[in-house]
Formats: sequence, C-alpha cells, structure tokens
Amino acid sequence: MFQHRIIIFAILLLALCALPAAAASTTKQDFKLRAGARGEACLTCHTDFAEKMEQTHLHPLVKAKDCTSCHQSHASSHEGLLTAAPTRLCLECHAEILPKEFNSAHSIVVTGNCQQCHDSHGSAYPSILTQEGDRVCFECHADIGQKTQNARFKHEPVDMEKGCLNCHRPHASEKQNHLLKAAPPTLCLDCHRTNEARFKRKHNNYRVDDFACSDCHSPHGSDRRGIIYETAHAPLAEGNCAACHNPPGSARQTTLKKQGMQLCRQCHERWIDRQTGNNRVHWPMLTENGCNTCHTPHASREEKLVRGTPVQVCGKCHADTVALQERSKKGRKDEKLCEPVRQGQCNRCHAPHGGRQVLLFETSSSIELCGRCHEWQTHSTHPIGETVIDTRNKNLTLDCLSCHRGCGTADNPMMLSFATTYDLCVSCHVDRRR
Amino acid sequence: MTRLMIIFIALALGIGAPASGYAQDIKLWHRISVYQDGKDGPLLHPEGVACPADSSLIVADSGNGRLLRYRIETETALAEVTEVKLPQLNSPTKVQAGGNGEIYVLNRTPLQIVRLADDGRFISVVKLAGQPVAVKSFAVHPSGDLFVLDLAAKRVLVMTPGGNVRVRIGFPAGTDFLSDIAVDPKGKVLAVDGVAGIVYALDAAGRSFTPITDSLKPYARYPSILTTDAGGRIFLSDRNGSRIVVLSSSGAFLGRLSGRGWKDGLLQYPSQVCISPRGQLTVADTLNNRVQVFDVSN
Repeated sequence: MFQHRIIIFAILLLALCALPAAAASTTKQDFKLRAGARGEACLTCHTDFAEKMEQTHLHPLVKAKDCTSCHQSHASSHEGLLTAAPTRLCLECHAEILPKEFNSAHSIVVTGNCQQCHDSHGSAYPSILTQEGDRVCFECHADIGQKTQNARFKHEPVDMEKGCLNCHRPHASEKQNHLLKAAPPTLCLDCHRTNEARFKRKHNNYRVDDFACSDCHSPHGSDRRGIIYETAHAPLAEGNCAACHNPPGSARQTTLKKQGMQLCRQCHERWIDRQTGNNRVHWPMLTENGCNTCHTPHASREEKLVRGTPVQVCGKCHADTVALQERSKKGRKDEKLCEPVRQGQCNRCHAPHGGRQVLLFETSSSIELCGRCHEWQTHSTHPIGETVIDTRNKNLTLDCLSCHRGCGTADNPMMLSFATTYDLCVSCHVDRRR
Repeated sequence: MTRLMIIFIALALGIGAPASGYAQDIKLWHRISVYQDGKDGPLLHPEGVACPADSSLIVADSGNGRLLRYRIETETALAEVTEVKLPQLNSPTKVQAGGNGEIYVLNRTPLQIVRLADDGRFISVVKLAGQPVAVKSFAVHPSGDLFVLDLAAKRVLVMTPGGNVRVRIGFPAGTDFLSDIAVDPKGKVLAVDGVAGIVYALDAAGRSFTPITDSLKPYARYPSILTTDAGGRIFLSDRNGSRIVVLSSSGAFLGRLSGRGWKDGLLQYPSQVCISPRGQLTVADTLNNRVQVFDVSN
C-alpha cells in the first residue's frame, strides 16, 4: 500500500516537471496556427486591404504581414480589435518618440493621437504620413499654412524640402520651445552669416548676433520686407535704430538711450502722461522695463506691438486668474461662459495701462461694463442698481458682480459665485433657505 | 443642572464663530466691521489700515480720498472718528504709523509718501530725489528709517523721513517685482513677491533679500501684502484669493483663513492688514467697502 503511494507521488512529480516543457512546446508550435495566421490569412477576408498593401510606404509590421502585433484575432476591449488603447499602442514600440525630459512636445504626441499625422498601415508618403510634407502640419496649423502661402515675403526654408521640419522637430524638443531644433539665433545662423556685408547693411551695422531673430522677424513669412512682423515699431520700420539705441559701432551700441518708460516718453509723452495721470496706473508701466514689460520695442505678430495674446501677456503676472479662466472653459457648465473670458480678452473689461476704477475696470459700474455686451440685462433682470442695497453688506448695492464673477468660476454655472442657483439666492433671501 | 451647563458651554463656544479656513492651529474670530465714518458716511474701497501703539485704528478710505482715525473702545466696539482730508492725500492706499506718533501715507496720484503729525496735520512729502522712483510700498522701521520699495529701479531704499538715502538694496536675483514690504517689531525686514508668491527676508547685514518660503501659490492666489504680529508671525493678504495666509516667522505655512464673500467675516479683494497692540488682525476689505477686525487664536 505504502509502495503504491510512493509510485503515485513519483508519477505526479514527473508530470509536474513535464508541464513547462509541454507549455514551451505549445508556444513553439504557435498554438498550432495555420501558416500565415498572423497576417497573411487575415487578407483572405480583408480583401480591401490589398490596396493598402500596395502603398509605397508601409509600416514594417504591415510589410511583414504581422497583423497580430497590433490586433487581437478574436476579441479586444479596444476599437479595431487593437491589442491596446489606440493612444497607447504606438508608444509601446515607439517610446523613444517622447524623450523623458523635454521642453516642448507636440500635443498630439503627448495625447497619443499618432494617427492624426501617420497612417498606421501605410501611405504614399514617407514616414507613412497621411499627407505630403507640410500639408499634414497645416491640417491643424491652418493659420500658419495660410501665412506661409500668402505672405508677400517668404522665408526660404518653408518652401524648401522638409518644409516645417527644417526648423521644427515633429514630436518633441528636449531643450527648445515651439518644438524648435535649436533656439534663435543659433538656429537662424545655420543659414544666415552675420559677417556678410549684406547682413550688416540690413541691420544698420548694429551687431545683432546675440539677439533672438524672431523678436523682429516672422519665421513663417510676412507682408513686410525682411519678413519683419506686420506690426512694426515706427523707428524699426524706418530703419531709425538710433532713435532708441546708441549709434552703431559705439562701445555700448545696443544699450538704450534711456531706461523704461523714459525712453518711450521721447515720442509718446502725451499718451504716457495721460495714462500716468490716471488715479490707478498698472504697475508694470512704472517698473524698470516699463512699457517693454508688455510691448515689444521692435515688431510683433500682435496688434499694438503687444508681446503676445492678452492671456499670454497678462498671464505672466496674473497666472492665477488665467488659470481660473482656463478651468472655467474646461468646466462642464461652460456653455454660459462670457465671451471675453472664453476668448481670453482681458482688455475687453480691464484698462491695461491705467484708469480711475478699482481693478482697472473700464467703467465705474459693472452694470455699465457688462451692459456693453449684455444690453438686455440692463433693463430686464433681478433688481440691480444704485438704489438696491445688498442685504449681505450694507455698503454695497446690487450689480452684476453681486452674483457673477467676471473672470470665471471654474465649474459653477453661468459664472456664478456659488455652486448652485439655490445657494446664490439664499445668500440674500435667507428666509427662503430650506 | 447638567443640561443647563451643557447648553451654556455650547452657547459660549458658539459665540464668535471662527471665520472658516483650512488652518488647523490658527483661527480668526470676526469682531468688528467698520462700514462708516462718524457721520454715517460709507467707506469706499478702503485699501489701507494702520494699527498704532495708542490702540487707535487708521483707515485709508481710498475711494473717498481721506484718512479716518477711530478710537478702539473695546475689543468689539469703535468710537470717535476723526477725518483727515488733505490735498496731498487724494488717493491714500497704504498707511503706516511711525514710532513717534507720526503717520506715513502712500498716495497714489501723485505717487508719493506723505508725512503727517499725530493729529493728522500735514508735515511734508517724503523727498525721493534723483532717478525716477516708483514707490510700490514702504514700511517704517523701529529706528525711524523708511524702507521704500522702488519698482522703477528694482531696489529698496533705506532712507530717513527727510529723504536722505542711507542704503540701496537690490531686489532678489531673478525678481522683477516686489509687491509689499514690512518690518516686524524686532526690526526684521520682509518683502513679498505677489506674482511668484515668495516671501523674502533681509539678511542680518541688511544687504540682500533671501527667500524664506517656496512659492505660496499652492495656498494663495495672489499673496501680495504682508504684516507681522508681535511674535513675528507673518500675515499675508491674498487679494485674488480673498483670504488671509498665515506663516510662522521662519516662513512655515500655518493656515489659510476666511474666504470670499459679502457677509461679515468674509473678504473680497483684501488689501493692507495690520495687527493691533491687542493682537487683533485688521483687514482693509476693499471690495466690500469696509474694514474688518478679527481676533486671532494663539
């Protein structure tokens, strides 16, 4: 009896040892798949794919007819029977596309929407792009596409082979902004020679080797000669650099003749006096950088030589408010978001230089300010105005800001200061509180 | 009897409900809201408050272009109001009490520091000769010197009230903008960069500012005005966040108090803050057109 048990135990032990070998043998046999089951067999049903297989540029896995590297044969949780979520699948092999540390990255790379530029199977274009060269870029960056096409004065690299990729990386830039290959002027000096007589002449003999060329020049082309941004400061447009700078050749040639607002005052004295005479002056005007804090002294793609959009410029100091706007835009109840907030147009309500009103509002009353757009609210609304006392605070009268927040309120509906209309109403009508 | 005692204790705890906040160890209890001058005239956008040693309260009633001086009768009541209205003070924004009873006021238009006697009499405008100076803020040192925050040249001028500049201290490296400066009772000079949300302290040699906090942005939206209490705790007015942020003297975060609202105890775009000799926190509650006084725990 005891011997029998030993024998049974030995058999079980042997069987256990043999299991991995059996498994390995199964793997080797590839689940006894028929030849071509990893791809070729798929084409027997997916006949429409034959056309794709004839494309000039094929994904290597497609070329190898290895469909199962990306698709499950039987079932999947993902669309197209993919083996992983479409936003993750490509990065499983192409992880190096996004460096561990980068200064700028293409948003569609970060979100894993590779198919926006690449056809995952094959295409007629190199790198299995969905369209030829720059066309794929201009699909999203249409404004730049139009600019490069319509500009009277074009930047050569844009029309050269590689197009955008002459200056930009398609996926990420480890050290530069805007996916640039290198920072200006290094990038620009690959083609432009600063010691050439023509270059010097064009720059009025000022040494500009160390300056960011894109401060004045539009890299995508411009209607202004020298591809200078369309909005150019008059002295620059007239080639009168000496209006602000010391003469070329002098020891401190690029040094300004005066500092901050004092320099601008040379030409804009009356305007500056009017602004600084205001009861409230926006502090950046009075800083060492003065007007240059928000305006560029040479040329800009924005009107009035502003350094960027209001959100970019104002957001340098008021990042908290811009963040609130952004949260409001992404909020689920953003359908009632005020247009200037949605568009990030801070200057629609605030005077950027100075004024007489608190928070640099354009008007003394929010009713008047909001009424510029919401005209009907001024005559058809909850009682508001100078005679309607706020029951929460006897020193305030009811106006638009008694209920709404001008710069957005994240998730709250209709830019209300409270999460619900009920909370808002009972903040005054306490007797109606449930 | 036991029931009565419980009710009594509950009532005692309920009186003076703390202004809500996230602070665990520090709380504010609302005590006084100042809405009016002595003739029932309402305040308009007050931006400055000073808490002199004589336990009075000076308010820069900025929107009405005047100073108001209240005598604090008790911890919960004010009395006697004196109005100071001067042509040199059409838009007062910040008030500081000097050690000798003098009052210093930052006026917005024209941008200048005005020196007043204890009774509100005009003494002089503090002379800021030389290069253009843009005074963002100032503080009075216990020694009597003024620390003037000059945005135009990114420096702090240490000067006598007569205008004699003793020292020029540059802004901290990499900082273009300091929004306020304060001196604690022991003479330690602090400054805050509201944009970056960093508080700096002047080193012992009085030569340079070094940060004592990381960015306070996780706790505050725009902490741009500061004061200290007798123990050196730092109180910051978070203007956009409508809160008061409290730090230890070494810069450690202690709490975030009050919040945005209209009712007593809540704030809207608070400006200058000061701590009275009794230890009460006074806040210029600018967009609520009032000044509020709070008890501070611990």
